[in-house]
Amino acid sequence: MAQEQSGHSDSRELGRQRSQSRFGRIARHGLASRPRIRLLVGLSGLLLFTLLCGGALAYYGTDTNLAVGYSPIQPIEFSHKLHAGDLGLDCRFCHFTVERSAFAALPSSEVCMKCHSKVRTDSVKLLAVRATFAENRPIQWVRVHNLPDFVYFDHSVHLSAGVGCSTCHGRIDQMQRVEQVQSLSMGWCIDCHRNPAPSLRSPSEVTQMNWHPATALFPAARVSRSGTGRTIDPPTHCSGCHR
Amino acid sequence: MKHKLPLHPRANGDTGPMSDQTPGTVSRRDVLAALATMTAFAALPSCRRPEQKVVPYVRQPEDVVPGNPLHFATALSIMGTAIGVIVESHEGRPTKIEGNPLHPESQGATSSFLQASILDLYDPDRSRGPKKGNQTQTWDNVELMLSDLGQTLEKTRGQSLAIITDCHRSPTFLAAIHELRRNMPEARILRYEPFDDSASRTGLRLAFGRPLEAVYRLSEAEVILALGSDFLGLEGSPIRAAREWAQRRAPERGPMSRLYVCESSMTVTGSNADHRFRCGSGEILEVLCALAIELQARELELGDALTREVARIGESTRSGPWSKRVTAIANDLLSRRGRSLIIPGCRQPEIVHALAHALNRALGNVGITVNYVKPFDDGDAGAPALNDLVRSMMTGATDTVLMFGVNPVYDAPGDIAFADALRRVSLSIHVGTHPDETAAASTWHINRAHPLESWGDAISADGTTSLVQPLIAPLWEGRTDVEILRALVGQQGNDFNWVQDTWTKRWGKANFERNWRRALHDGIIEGTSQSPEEVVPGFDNVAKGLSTVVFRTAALVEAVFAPDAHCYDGRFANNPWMQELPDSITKLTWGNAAWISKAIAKSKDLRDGDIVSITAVGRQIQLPVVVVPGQADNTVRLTIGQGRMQGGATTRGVGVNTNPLRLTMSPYQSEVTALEKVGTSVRLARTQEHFNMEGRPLALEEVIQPGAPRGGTQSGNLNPVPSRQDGSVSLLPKTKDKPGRTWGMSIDLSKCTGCNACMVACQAENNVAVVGIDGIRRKREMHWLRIDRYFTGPSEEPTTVAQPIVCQQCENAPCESVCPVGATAHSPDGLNDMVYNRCVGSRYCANNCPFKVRRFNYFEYWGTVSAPRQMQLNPDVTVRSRGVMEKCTFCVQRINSAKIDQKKRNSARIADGTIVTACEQACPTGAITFGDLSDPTSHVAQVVSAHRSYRLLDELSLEPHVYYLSKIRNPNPELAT
Repeated sequence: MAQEQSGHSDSRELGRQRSQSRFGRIARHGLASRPRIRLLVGLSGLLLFTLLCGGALAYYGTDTNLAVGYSPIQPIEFSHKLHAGDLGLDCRFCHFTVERSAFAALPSSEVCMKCHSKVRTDSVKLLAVRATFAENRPIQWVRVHNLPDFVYFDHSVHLSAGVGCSTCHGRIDQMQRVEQVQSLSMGWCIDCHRNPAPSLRSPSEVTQMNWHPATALFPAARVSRSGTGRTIDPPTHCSGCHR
Repeated sequence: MKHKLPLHPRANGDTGPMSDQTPGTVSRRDVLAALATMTAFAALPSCRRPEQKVVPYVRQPEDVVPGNPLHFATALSIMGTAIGVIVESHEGRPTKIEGNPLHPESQGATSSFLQASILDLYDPDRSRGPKKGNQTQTWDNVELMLSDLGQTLEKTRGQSLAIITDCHRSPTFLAAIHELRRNMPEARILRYEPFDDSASRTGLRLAFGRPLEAVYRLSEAEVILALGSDFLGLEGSPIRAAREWAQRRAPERGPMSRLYVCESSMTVTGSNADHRFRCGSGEILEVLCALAIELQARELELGDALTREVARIGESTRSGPWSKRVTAIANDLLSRRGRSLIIPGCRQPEIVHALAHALNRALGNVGITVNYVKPFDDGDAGAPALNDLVRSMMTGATDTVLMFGVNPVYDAPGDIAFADALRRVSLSIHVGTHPDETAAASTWHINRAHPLESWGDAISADGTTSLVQPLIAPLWEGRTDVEILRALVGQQGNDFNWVQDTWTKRWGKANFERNWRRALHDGIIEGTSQSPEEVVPGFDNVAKGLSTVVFRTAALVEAVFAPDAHCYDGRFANNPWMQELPDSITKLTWGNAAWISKAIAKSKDLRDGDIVSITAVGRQIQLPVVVVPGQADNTVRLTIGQGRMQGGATTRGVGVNTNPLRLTMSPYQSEVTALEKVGTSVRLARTQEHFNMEGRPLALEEVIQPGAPRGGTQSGNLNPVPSRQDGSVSLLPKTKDKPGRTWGMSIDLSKCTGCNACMVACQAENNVAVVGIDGIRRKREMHWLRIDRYFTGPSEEPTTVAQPIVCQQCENAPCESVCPVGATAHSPDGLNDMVYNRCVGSRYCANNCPFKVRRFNYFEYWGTVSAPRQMQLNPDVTVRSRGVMEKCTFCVQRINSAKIDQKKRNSARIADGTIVTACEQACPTGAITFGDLSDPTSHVAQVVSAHRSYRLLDELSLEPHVYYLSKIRNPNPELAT
């Protein structure tokens, strides 16, 4: 019936051969070959679905998804390369709460204007900064480094332990526009918490951008800082970061 | 292939009977499929979290470091006193209230009401602007109206004006009232709140001939007799009282005090008494007179007239069943002369106050256990004054009424038709934070600023004065009472100017800046506590007062009125934390019920939740009953504060208004003429319905052995708590075998009064959700800290123990071993960590927890909470979503903050006492101690080494890190039966 209507001669021949068997009789009624196709389609669909799901999972697990390379366009074309790199401003000049608070606060417009009321006062690129200051309207930066709400990361304690800015944020001094370079995933955090030594430097050097692990001061796994005698013993239990 | 395969099987006519598709065209399904594919592809490159904005300041405020909270000292007025507090503020957003350790009324602790005040600030139902009728008005209009009104009133010297204020404690507001009195000397000014100290003032005036306020010093008192007084719970200065009382409740730290309580229904104070005697509220005068006879018989000089009068009233009680009790109390009071104290309850008639204070003077207690100070404001106050005003409003003598923070339409006694009177006057102006019943009945409603939004000052009961400073700019542009009253007399200026004005006059210009900064920083103004007044007892005046007392006709049933544990006098009715806070005795949430005695329940065949109709003073109300142990046989206890008609969405339909049953002349006692079963019943929303420990040793209670010397430490006479682990073998490790730091907690049941302050503190600190009345009925409450309350002994005369239960942080935690996803795990310092982001909601852990402390988010509770209330959330604690288990964390955010601080400062250890959990900080009695158990010098380790410390369900070898100290009572051996 269905085959005949489809006009497919091969399948009609197939159907005739099959009609000799018991199944053939059913086939004539169009109940054998179509299920097979359906089964095939279904199976391959299932396969495709599994592959897609697997792919999606794998994709979600990669650093790509976890925003490595994320570099959104900011409302003001601020260049870290110019300020932190070429001019050599210390990170803490603008992010001045980083040693005192969990947050490395973004500078207020006032901080920008401290210099820019004297420097490049007629620059078009700074129009927006001057406007926010004059109109008392804050700049809405787009967040680049973002941790989930259940993670309580503290900048200050990492700095005091000797984890440098570049360890997590990369070579900010070379970035025209800020980009995320590390995955900031839990696995990545825990790797360092389990073996902090390679990432530790002297707390006085934390803002040095060209620091390299090869020059690490503390080779041992559990390090005792000379002079201060502090043991760097980062938490690896749940409530260390989640509360 | 001979034939070309069709591109689309359906296109070749394989269309079923259901298809109406023309062959060869594109179907709707195809479009949808294509759309879905396109959407999927379009979404692929944006597979990341949504874009977030980071917004810095334009100009960074001084001292603000984002992420680090700031703390400001201020004061909140409640219950006729002002309590110094320190408020935590995150980037300009106040989130938590703590006590001010320098303030004598707080001494670092808080009450449940103070803790909940922060949520009132963010109440979405607060009024959002001035209104005339239903029309919103601008502040310019309000100012114009007020100055016009002021000019008109000045012409008649304020004759037709009446001002009703709440029981405020602000010198600056008082100065504004004095200023108004200068221009309008004939204005009628009175204070009204349903619960105030007017009985106490009248009584003290009778006893000592001049207006005074009593300030108790319970830390000095060795024998205390409370007569219908809930001084540890809902009256006077409960925080200060509890702190000072608890200093003499740990037997390890010197001799214990003894507390006798006579009361009609169980209160927090009564449940902590060493001897609690049931008696009707009206019988208390007779008991006091009987006691006076006994004291006089033992050579206490009372004067002839008073002796005669107390004999007239008290003799029958003295010779009756009370004889043994009265004798014992009298002996005890006399043996501790100068170290004893009689506390009359705020809701007792003035004659009880007069006689009690006269006896305090005769016993030599004045200056030691009780001081009398000048009152803050001795104007007209209370229900009788309000009744006079209503009469004047009805006759038209009073034509303009100005109300500051009061709600008499709701809370006036039933025989005062305040709403009718309001309709008679031509202008009524209501100033308040909420559009309440009185606001609706007034011509104008002006929205008042919350105390956390205002500048001001406040005097506590003992005279200590604090500056009130704003934590946030008024959310709805409300203004303070001072600004509005000053606008009436045509004076410009804001609250800040007026407070500065008050204190410039007091300090002088030269010292102002230094004193002002100091006062703002410390939260108290130095040298403001009042010196006690010398008093001479006027025994004859008290006798005269007693001579007017006629014998009670024995009422069949007596209704007594008490403040509601949830909303005090109604002001916290719209506060979801308070509504969901279980009552200390009945564990009832969301609403009120009539407390009835077992005798009434038996005679009327009533069970918990049955609706009854209660008729008193000619009016009738219907509400559910709850049978409460320890209630006087003929007493029905009703609470004031529930059943609000207006005032917010939270309070709508919650509870029953009992004010109609009150009378002006006896606002706290009425005679019940009928109590009938209606026939219907409701399921009460209670968090604990079972009173009995069923023989399990949970909340242990011990009695000091008779014959113990009164001087020395008495712990040697205590029964040691039997160790239930002796001789048992366990495969599980013991806590003490574990090296390193171990956080632990001790809870002293002997000090715990069950006041609930810790529960609200925990809720505020840890973003604990509210589940509502249906949630409570389904046992889905989210409180991380609950207080179990057990009655022991006969149900008529029970003893009560309150036992706070937090997560016991077991070393061998049964919850950890059953979690299928490792969402609850052990930390190296002995915490039982809960990881919300791992939790899949199997709830195995809650099932396996023998203490039942784990709470499950059945719904997205915070998702439905309105935006203003979400501003209260603590940013240091995760807001849990649906399907996640949660529980007490020992305030791990505070632990981590201390650890981080220690690491940054590179100090060897966290000093003992650095980490204070929210419950410990709030506790008025200091019953909770937190610290490192592994450090033998820590406070907590020393406390748990006490003879009476034990752990719950020790036989299970769970090694919990929470220790309890058994409750110790100090009964009078004379009364041992």
